[in-house]
Amino acid sequence: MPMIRYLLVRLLGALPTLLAIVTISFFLIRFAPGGPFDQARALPADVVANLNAAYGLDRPLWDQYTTYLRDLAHGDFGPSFRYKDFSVTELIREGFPVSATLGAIAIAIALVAGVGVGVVAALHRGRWIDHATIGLSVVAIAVPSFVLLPALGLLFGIELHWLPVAGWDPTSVRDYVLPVTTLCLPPLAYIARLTRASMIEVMRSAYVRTAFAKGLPLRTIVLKHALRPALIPVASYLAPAVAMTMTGSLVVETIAGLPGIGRYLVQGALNRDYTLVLGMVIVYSTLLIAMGLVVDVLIAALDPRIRLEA
Amino acid sequence: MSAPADERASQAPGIWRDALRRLRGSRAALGAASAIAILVALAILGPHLNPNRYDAIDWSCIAMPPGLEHAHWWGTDPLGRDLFVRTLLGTRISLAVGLLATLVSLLVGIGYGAVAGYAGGGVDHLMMRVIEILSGLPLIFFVILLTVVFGRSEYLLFAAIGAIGWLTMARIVRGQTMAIREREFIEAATAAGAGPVRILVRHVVPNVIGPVIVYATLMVPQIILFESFLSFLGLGIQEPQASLGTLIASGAAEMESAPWMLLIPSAVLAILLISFHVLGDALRDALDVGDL
Amino acid sequence: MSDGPILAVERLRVAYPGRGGSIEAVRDVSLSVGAGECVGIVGESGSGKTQLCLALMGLLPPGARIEGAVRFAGAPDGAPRAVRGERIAMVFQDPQTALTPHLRIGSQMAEVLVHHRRVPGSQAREAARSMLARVGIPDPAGCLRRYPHELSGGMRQRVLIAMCLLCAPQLLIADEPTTALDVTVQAQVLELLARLRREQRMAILLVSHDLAVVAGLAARIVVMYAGRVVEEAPADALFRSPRHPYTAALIACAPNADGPIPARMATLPGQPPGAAERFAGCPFVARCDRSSDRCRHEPPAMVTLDDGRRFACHEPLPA
Repeated sequence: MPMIRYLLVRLLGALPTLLAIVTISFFLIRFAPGGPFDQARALPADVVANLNAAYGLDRPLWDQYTTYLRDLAHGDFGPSFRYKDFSVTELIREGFPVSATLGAIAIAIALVAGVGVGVVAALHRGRWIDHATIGLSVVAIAVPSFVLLPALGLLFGIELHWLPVAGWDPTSVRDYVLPVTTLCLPPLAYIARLTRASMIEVMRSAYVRTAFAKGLPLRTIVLKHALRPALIPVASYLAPAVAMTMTGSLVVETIAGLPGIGRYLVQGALNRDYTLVLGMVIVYSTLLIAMGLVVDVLIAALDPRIRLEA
Repeated sequence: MSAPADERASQAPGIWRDALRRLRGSRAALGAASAIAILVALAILGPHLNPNRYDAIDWSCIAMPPGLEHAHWWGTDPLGRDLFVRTLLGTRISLAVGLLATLVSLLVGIGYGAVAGYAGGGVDHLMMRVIEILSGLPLIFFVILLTVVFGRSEYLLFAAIGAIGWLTMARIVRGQTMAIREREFIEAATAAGAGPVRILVRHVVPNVIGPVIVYATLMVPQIILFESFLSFLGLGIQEPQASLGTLIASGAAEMESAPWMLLIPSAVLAILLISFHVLGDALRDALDVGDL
Repeated sequence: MSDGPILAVERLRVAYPGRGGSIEAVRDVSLSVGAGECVGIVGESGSGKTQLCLALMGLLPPGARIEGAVRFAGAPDGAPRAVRGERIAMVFQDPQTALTPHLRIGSQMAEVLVHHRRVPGSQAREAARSMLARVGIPDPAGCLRRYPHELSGGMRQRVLIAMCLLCAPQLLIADEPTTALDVTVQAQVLELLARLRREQRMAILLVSHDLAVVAGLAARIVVMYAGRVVEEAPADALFRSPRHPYTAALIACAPNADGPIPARMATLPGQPPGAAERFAGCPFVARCDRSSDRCRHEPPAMVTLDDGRRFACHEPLPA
């Protein structure tokens, strides 16, 4: 099977990339000033020395690096420096499903709604509905999530009492509404803009003109002839969007009080929680690389002229 | 002597004239450009039009809504600082960091992309591999490490952000360069004995500048937004200085009691971002760049 | 059906309003095509031929302003737009880009019949297969399963022609159908069109910048210049004695298949006027060697002769 061969070759090719990413991150964070045990109240020097010894931070850096890689190969991300009783593996295993669920729902909504809005806007180019789409999409991209989520909470939670403002019960659909809305709006707006631009381009193409000349109804022309090529730029955008959204949003999870992994990357980097940061970077990079592969397969499916060649 | 090649490359000014004419014809582009011009003028001159200082605490006017009293036209924050002055100062700083980061990434991106695209072959392969690896890393990870290094100097911080935000720019320039390299006027210049550096600077760079400008107009608002996210984390512009991001972040906290603190800087940010987007779109159409 | 023309175009104008005056692509064009007749339209690029075709099909972009009348006898209300793809079909210039890249040939052909004739897909594919065989595709069943990029340019143009013929249209508009093809393939495609016209008794409006392409097929030729008709005549009469100086120049430029190849081809100096230009007199005056003062100031009116010929010129060549 050429497809399986292609996937295998691509996945093997991704390993050096991932190794390079881990290596760069490892040494970058280790060379950054400060350490995991610098706190507001300085600890006595001998305590810090003991802690460093306990976590192996007193050993040569190269030694630590190879140890980390060896543990990583066994699926062990190491202990967290700040969440004292947890390993990084545990933290990510508990938080990732929350972030990934929210992110996946948000991206799915953004994709369906964004493509729909973009197509409608493109077909009404220059009319009010098109201008409204462009205007709203810029606003949706421009409003920071730390403004949008509290504002939505204020409106639907505190004023209207329709939805809970904070708190999290994974079985309650109502708890998903505000965080998902906040998460999905920027990618939705971006996908709408991408779709609109490429749809306008495709509708001007010679083959769409042929389809019109064949007397086909607009519906068929759009859905059968124009949509697939117009989706190619959207597919390319999906890889970073999925990786970003599914690894959680610090802002949304903090404000809504959700137990996801969105805060670990920033917190870990700020606190020099070396293992936690590296774990998060690996999760993000792996998702990104995997999505890149998915997207390439998707694009090849959208355009038969593209051959998958590893 | 590369006279014939130069002649053919000089089609470029014609493209620019056409683009400028199309741009002038677009009402949206004119509106966006004038909105940006007005905001820039306000950001520079505005704070001098008001007697209040950006960091002066007015205990008699704590969290006052917009009005004419004490010349607090756009109200004050909970420390009694004037929001008109702070918002315009914040606009100035947001614009400055946005432009700075964009400029830095422009320079790095053009240089890297042009070299990769022009060199081709193994060099190009290696350089693209580096981009692939770097883009596999979350940006915020770098930025937090940079704040540790450059934390006390905001402008250095944003120059550094620009220096890591050049990946997309480099990809665009590389693609364009590869396309241009195949065109006959480059061949003519090579045949006429022009060296690679001369060809890059004289022929390739002027030809990729169109897509680059479009991308740059879209990058400025991205950086301004990113700064607001850093402000939310407390890593952006430090008090008592203000950026639109810090103002919005502190306004979001007072959303219920003092909504103007959120609404005024948000409105300015929205106008700024929409204007940049509209201008970028109009430029894209005018320069006929296609989708980026 | 009566013996009247199947397509009648009266005083058709196509303009694009814009800043600083509108761009006039087609100016006051009248012409007619009889049932089963092949009419050729000849003119340099930019003479408004393609715009005319698109207007006939109702395919002009939204910004276009159209005046005049197009009546198509095959349509219930005379509007060709309603029956396009069914009774009036069009082949475009560039077969490289005219087929949807991500759909198989079979799917693109079958949908025409499924939509217009409401036949089931399998039956439509069978019809598509036999039509491909008729246009000379060697492996029609295999071709149905191919994507456009897997076919050569000549094959693609055949596929496009076959696609047009599926519903047995009464009129085929062919806009530069051979321009993008190799010379040997050009001849094959023209031959195919001639054969199909006989077999299906279908009218053809054959558009080309190349007089030689049109000459072999069209019984009547319309010469366009700067968006207008400057001369119309039966093909043999036109070649024997062109009346408009522009027609004469075109004939002089065309390589003569029968005669010896001239050492140096005659060329028509200068450029045709742009669609945004306005003229007080004849649009051809700047390139014409017969022009008089009158040509500069007074637009020539169309003169219609008894033998069906017409031309618009103050200083026509002698008959």
